[in-house]
Amino acid sequence: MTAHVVLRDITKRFGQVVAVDRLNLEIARGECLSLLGPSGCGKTTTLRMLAGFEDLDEGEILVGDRVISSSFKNYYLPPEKRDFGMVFQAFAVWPHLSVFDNVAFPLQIRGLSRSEIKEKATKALTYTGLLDVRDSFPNELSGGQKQRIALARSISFNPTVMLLDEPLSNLDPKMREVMRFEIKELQQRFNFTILYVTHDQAEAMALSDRIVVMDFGALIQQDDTPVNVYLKPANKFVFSFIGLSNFLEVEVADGGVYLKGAREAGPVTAAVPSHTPGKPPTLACRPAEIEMAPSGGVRGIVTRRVLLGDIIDYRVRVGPAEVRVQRNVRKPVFGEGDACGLRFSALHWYDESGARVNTSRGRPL
Amino acid sequence: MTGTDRKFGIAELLLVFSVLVLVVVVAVPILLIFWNALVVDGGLNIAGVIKVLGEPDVFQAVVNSLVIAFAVTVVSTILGVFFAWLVSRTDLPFKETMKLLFLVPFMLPSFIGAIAWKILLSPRAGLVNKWLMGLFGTEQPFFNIYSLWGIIAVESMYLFPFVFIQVSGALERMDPTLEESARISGAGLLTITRRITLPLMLPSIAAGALLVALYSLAHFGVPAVLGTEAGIFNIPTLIYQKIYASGGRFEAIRAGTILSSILVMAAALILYAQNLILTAGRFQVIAGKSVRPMLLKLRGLKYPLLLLSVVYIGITVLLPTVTIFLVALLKTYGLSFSLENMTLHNLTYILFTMKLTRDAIWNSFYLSLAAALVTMLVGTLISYVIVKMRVRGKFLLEFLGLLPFSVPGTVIALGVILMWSGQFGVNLYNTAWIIFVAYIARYMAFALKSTSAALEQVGDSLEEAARACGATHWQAMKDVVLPLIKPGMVAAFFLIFLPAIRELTTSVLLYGPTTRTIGVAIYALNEDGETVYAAALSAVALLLIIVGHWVIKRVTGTTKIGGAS
Amino acid sequence: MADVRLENLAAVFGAHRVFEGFTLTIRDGECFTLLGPSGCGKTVVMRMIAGFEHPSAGEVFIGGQLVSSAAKKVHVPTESRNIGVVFQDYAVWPHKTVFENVVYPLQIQKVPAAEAKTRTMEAIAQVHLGSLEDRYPSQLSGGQQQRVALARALVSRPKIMLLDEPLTNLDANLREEMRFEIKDLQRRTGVTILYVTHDQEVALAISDRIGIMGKDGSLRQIGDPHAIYTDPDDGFVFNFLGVANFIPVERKNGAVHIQGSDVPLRVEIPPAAHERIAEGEVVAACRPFEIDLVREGGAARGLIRRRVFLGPIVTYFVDVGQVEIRVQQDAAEAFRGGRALEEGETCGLAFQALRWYDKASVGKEVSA
Repeated sequence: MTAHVVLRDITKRFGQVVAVDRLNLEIARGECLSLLGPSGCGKTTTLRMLAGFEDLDEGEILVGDRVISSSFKNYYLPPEKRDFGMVFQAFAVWPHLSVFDNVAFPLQIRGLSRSEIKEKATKALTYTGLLDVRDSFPNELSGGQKQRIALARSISFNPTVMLLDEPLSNLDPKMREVMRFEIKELQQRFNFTILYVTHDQAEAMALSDRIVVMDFGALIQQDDTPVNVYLKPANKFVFSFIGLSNFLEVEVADGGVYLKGAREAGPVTAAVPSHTPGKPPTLACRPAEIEMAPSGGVRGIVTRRVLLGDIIDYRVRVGPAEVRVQRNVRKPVFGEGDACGLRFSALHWYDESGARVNTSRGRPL
Repeated sequence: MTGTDRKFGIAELLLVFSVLVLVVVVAVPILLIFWNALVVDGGLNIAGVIKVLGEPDVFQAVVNSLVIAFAVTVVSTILGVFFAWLVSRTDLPFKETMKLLFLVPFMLPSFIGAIAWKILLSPRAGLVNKWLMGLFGTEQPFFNIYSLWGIIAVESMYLFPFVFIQVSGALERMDPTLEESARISGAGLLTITRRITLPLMLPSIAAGALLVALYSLAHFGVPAVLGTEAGIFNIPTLIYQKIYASGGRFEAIRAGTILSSILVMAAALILYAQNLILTAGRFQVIAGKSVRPMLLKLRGLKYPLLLLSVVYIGITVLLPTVTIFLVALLKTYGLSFSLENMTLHNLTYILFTMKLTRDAIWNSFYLSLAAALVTMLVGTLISYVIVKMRVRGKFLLEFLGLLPFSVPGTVIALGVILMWSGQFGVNLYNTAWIIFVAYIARYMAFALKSTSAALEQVGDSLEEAARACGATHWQAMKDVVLPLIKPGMVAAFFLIFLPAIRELTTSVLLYGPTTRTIGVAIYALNEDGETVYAAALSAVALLLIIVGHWVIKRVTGTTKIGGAS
Repeated sequence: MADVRLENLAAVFGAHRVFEGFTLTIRDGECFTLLGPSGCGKTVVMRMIAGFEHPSAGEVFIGGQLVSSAAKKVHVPTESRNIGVVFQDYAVWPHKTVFENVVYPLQIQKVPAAEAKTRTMEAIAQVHLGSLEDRYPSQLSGGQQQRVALARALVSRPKIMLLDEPLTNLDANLREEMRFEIKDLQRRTGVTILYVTHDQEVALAISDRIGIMGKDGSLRQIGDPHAIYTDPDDGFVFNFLGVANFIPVERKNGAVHIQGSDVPLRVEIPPAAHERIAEGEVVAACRPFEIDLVREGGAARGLIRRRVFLGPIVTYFVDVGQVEIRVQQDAAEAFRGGRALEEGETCGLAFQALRWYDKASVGKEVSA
């Protein structure tokens, strides 16, 4: 697919701080791309540059084949001319206008006829399930409703690009799930190109076609589908950002890999990942991807057990290391102080710079 | 109701005491006004009321009050909104300085400003008039400050900060995404301002404007200095004139109470309207996180508008203030401003020699101090009952406490006269006590507001935590509540002390030969033509106020205390 | 250390009836959580034990001593009950340093200065705030302030500790850490704890026993967390503790079907439940992870309408007849193990556990 939105070498500085450092990004037509990263990494700044609320210091932004901002050509199209839809974290619906007037606002600005405005606004309200409340005022409605108003307002003029800035952060968990589906459905129906910013990896996973994980300076750590980002994190940063992690030091001996200082506990795996001798990579694994059994595997003692509902969270001491394991509550329960054996079903290896080495499957030993 | 511990009826006792205080100090004087206005010889006399209202001077005063209040409100609103927008939403340079300077009129008594403008623009002797007449060689003065527009202009200068503060505060705290979402929807700046920003600002604008209207209606000083000469009276000045001209005759008092009743009703209406607007609640536009509002780039207009602001500040703030100080230093009024015509003698004279002024300074000091202290302490107690105690009948306290807000100083003075001039066995007339009582009534609402705000900040859980640690109710009060509301109490003290020390409206109706206040002394000196001494005492008062504000800032860290007197 | 006994406690404020007939015993040394939705009255119960509220009826005993009784006109004031309280908003005094906050209970008790100082520093160390005793609360983070509150509640060696949603205002990571610290503290000191919250995760994680309150103020079930989670007595508790599928069923052609489904449901149904299906009085319930998706066979057949990948879990929304059933699969198993299914596929559901509850969802379990 040809790229619809192109961000080329964009840079933004605030004083001495480089908030966005030569970012290159392309979004295909109809694709939903999430920028995922910690607070302050530059993802919101990137979105605001695409929207036009911040002007870039260097680089250029193209939508379709049209340049909308370029430092080379000294060109900057203000936000009101960019024709994007945008949804904000705090909804930003106007309290002094009714739901209908909120949604009709962009249509009125564009000078459409009254009948056209009525038609398009009504359509937008229908798609977001707000037709019944179109004469109400925002303060009479819930958070989820207000976000729907914001959505309806931004789709009413049929934009091709939608920008969403942490739109679900101010909603309660149940509402968040509902709105995730609604946004997804709208995207499937209208085929928007979406740039979505969030710090919540579950949200990014659920909604996106592609996730871009960012670190400070808007430096891209990984750009891939949600499943790939989860199953094959490109580096340590991505691994720990995307989910619960164990990072364990290992030592290589007798043709096997052992947890550091715990050779008597037994080998983790016989498949030794490539490395410079003497500097073995760090083992990363997810608590949910470790099997626990009364015996066999790497031997350890349960030091802590916490019931979390669906999951029981264990801390298992293996030599000097403490391994976190999560098991479904259906499975047999271990008590604190019990001995157990751990089998690592998925091993990720990262060298000292944090880069991925190779994954190996834990084979039964 | 199952509730907190019974404190062996102490809660009930405190409630009764508080109600009693407020009834005696606040409610009864006001009731007496209405009683005096409406009841003659034990019977309701509406016809008499209408007759009085029909008298030409009374009728004219009511009309003048309304006209002035209306015009001042309009002008103040335009000025306030314009400058607030300039300071909060554009890239005007020196914004922080401008903000401070625009707030200066808040601190200064407007009647002193009126005196300054009299010096500058009175038709025959006004300095500016004389200068312009000399420049253009004309016989007719350009400006006559003794006129309706003169009153309106001067009042506006001193009242527009009410609107300015509300609007600039709201503009700065407004959620910027409300405007950003309009922008991304395709709207340019003008459309956004017209359809989004201004409508959302309406409650703040209205709040400020109503406050201006309230103060203007109740204001004595400026119309007294500038209007009486030309026979232009508003309600407070007419009340004063009738009472003093008549020497306390019944009909005069009655006219006064009737006029006062009108004032009170108008004020109550305004406050009611304001309450409606503020509690409409629809417009929750304040952002939670710290915000960076959208700034308009002024480009070519930047320096012209800066110049305009500077000129405005220069004319309305600097010019009158400088004039007062310069005139205070003149050997004789009418001399030109040159070094050989200047002396410090006037200042030393009024401070150390002249009995009138020395007494006035002393009176104002101890009256304001005492009133502030008592009002603050009683106010704290009453606030505690309202905010923290679960006892039936609290609403009565709340209502009584807020009453004085809507009662102008003139009316309180009149009410206090009716109550404490011997009718009920106690005669405080012409003593300092009557002023003291009037001040307490006048400023109780301020104390209540400030201390109850402080108390509300002290969450119940802070006291309960102390109880759980083993502290009794009183220990918890002493160790937790009191230390935490101390700043609020100090603020309340200054909130009363500073306005009281410079006020005129209330004490002008209550002073006796030995109980003049600073405000009354300045006014009297001006009336007697002792312009230089009036200016000198004004200069001293201004210095006092500036020092007072500096002290407050150091002690509490706030700067916003003031209002017209 | 003491136990707490509540006998027939009632909270009736005029026309507003919060709860009546509330009876509960919290054992000496246990960590008991009162769990329920907002407004159910759990905080009122705590406040009555603390002495901040008077019961309209019933009695409160702490350590065997009667401290509150409306009928007998007994009310021992809060300050004499020797309790520790931790509030939701921490309630640390901003005008006192950490040390001054924590030493306060000892000062009230007139403990000699030297001993007070030692005990205070001990308490501060116990909550890992070692070098911060001279700081003011405004200089501390939320989690640190909460620890000050904990230390202050513990320093006087109270008989019982009452905690009112103390972790609600903390972020997720901190909540996890503080949960553990509270549990740890309790184990070390042996103090009896009543923890009040609406967050079932915390309740499950730290309690020896949980008591679940319904919206009407009644105690639905009391028991050990694991047992309550896996096998609650009634539908309300089941729903409150975690995501639940409630599956309406009907009788069709002599067999039991999931509502709207043509295929009979192939599970063993306990006879007590079986009788009431015809009257439409019972509903089946299970957790999303208690269902396995299979390609062929299964106790019921359905169509996968939606699949959501959330990281460690994949959630499927499966339409069976008129009912939407949520199924959860471990992501690693799904993608690496090749067990993932696509949207639009038909599949079978194999129920690992199915419970039957009164349809009103608030009744008692029909049978296990």
